[in-house]
Amino acid sequence: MSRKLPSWAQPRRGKQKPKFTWLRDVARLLRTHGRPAGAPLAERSGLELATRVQLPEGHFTLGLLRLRFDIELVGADALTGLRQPLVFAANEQGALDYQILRMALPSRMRPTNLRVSRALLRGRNVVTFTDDPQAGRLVGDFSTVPAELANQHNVAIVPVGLTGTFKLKDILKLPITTKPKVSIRFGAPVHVRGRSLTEATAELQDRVEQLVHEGELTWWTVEQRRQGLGEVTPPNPTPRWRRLWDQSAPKPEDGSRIWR
Amino acid sequence: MARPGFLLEVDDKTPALMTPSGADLRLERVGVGTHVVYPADAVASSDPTMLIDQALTAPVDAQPLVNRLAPGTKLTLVIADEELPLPRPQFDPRRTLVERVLEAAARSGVNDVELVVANGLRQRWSPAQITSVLGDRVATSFLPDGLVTSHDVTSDDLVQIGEVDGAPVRLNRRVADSDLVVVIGLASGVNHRCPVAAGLTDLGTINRMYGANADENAWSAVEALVTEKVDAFTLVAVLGQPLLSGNMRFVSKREWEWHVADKLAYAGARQVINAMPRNGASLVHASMSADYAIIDVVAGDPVAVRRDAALAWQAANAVEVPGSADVLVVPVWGAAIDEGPIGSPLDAAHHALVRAAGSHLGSPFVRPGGVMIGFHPLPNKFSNRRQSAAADFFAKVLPASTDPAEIAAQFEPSALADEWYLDLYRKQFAHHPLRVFHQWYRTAEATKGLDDVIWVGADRRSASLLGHRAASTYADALEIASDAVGKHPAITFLRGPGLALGDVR
Repeated sequence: MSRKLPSWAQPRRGKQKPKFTWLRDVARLLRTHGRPAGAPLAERSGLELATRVQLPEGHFTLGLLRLRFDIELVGADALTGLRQPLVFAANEQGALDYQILRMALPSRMRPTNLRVSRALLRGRNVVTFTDDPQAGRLVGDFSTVPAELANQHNVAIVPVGLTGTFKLKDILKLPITTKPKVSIRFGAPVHVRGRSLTEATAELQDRVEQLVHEGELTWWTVEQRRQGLGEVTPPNPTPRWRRLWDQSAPKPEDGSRIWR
Repeated sequence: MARPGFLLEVDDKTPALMTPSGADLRLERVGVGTHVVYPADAVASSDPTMLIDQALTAPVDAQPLVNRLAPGTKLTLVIADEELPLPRPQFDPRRTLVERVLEAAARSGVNDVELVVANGLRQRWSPAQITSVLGDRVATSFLPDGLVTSHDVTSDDLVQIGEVDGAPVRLNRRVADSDLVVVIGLASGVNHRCPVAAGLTDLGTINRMYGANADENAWSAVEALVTEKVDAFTLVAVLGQPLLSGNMRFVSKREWEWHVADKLAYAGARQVINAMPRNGASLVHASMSADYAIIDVVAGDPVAVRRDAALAWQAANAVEVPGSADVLVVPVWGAAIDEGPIGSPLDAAHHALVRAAGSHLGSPFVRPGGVMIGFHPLPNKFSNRRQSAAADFFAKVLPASTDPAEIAAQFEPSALADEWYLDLYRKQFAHHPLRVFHQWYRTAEATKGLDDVIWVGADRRSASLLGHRAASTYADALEIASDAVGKHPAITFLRGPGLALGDVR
């Protein structure tokens, strides 16, 4: 059983030759055309302030950071699709927290901590930090400022857990040969609307503590534990040297090398 | 709010119109008096979290989702995968929908959660695809434990939930055993069928619903059975038109609104494609994605959600057209029909005749006995992995017959028993072999009412295999069509890349 195709129904053979079309196209397109009758007017497009986050694979300042630090970004994918501006809320660890967070993010997302309300109005991301942690705790307390800002400007708060930046300025002065390990962990965004500021701040506190303490767990496990435990149990008081010791632990060897 | 779609009657002032053909981008002058259907403007998306939260707390004909979640609930999230919007979304809304539902589940202390992709006859999702659609958070939380699975229509592990006309209807075991199923989907066209019935049942049931002898009664009966047996809560994001970004932004803009940058981008893209005929198209179309605005998010009872989502899509995309035309012109852009730059002849024909020409409210764009003119090169090229069965269908079945009944009787059984195709479907993320048969049945059905289908710039053998005709230029195509529709036909032109809903009066 077979259909009889017409004799001219032959497949296309031969290679398509390269063509130069640019000049002709440009000459044709530069002739202006008016709006056809009946076509609606073009909309005046204003400056788009609210853009959605789309993280590039890598960027210049992150590359620079990697020259000096063994830096890891965890959960940065949680930012994808969020409407900017954002309020980053991070734990205060050391003097370089702000600079490291800024450099780890692409230029369009880099937050400021100056005149934050005005910055948000202009579509720029902002960052707020916790207070200094009390003895025995890794994460200090958040004020209600991030929640107030998010509520006032109807934006999301992104919890950020920073580890490895404690006393980093002093560490960098040492004649060490290894790169200090720094981890920046982004958590699921917190939306304030429909909730009290205290409630949103408690959730934020909770998420940042989880990020700092349990960065290695999956988001779903963290979410479940957070709901199950209610409050995060602070770990046992740790001496300061232990924090530095843990933070500077050597990176495990990643696979065997051929040339050794 | 986006500018609504409109109907343009071509006059002397109208510039040449964007008429993509496969990977080729071109501007074509169309005759004065042609009606051009422009879909609604494409606008950038915004974070849908607020819309989702509102939909979850005030669902249609159902209780809020949180009221239905308890610590012991066996919860399954079904990800509908019926018609993937193409070009693929830059920010897939299904990811945010899934995340918001999971956060609600976590707050309620639900432990037993699994995700099932309702892919039906479409390819099963690879881990890379799961990660790209649902995001790192969901992938890292559920994939390592095997808690995200794609449905296998050939699996022996399906549960019989009842019978329709004496034939058993079998359903995905996890879904059938769940206390609550949350169905997550997108509405980006006129097809608003039940994704559980179409994507999670067995091969026999799907064939009865979509096969050569499909009828509306079988559809309704299976949908009713699934609705009765599965306790479902549906969450659907209604999408707007695709907004191409960066260098391809001109595709989403109306021609007379192109700025100098758009014109240069168009000329540049065309030059790259024409200078490198082998790789230029891949270079221009590599990682092509579009931003889709979310018009609305609807949640609640499955039937009510499908109805409301259809109404929302209709309200945003309907364009009034005065009467059915003699000739319908459909340019087919490769990026809108396939993940590759050009698309196969079968996909092109299905897109033009079923999706684009079938996107109307009851009265078709073209009158019975009219002609459709498509723009696509119809190259005999298929993806070796994904479209192996389609390639063989094109090479072996169509040269023998184009009649659906004949094909169903003679070729379908052997394709369904072919271990190679089934292995590709189960393990290599290829489409199920039955998919191409169903696709062809719909295409053949849509062609039946037309006098002729003519492809401009197409491979003559491919067009002939499809039972259609080929023409070198648009003017030649109109010349050929004049035998059926006369010298002065009424012409309707569907301007892409998105779909408009024709309200033909």
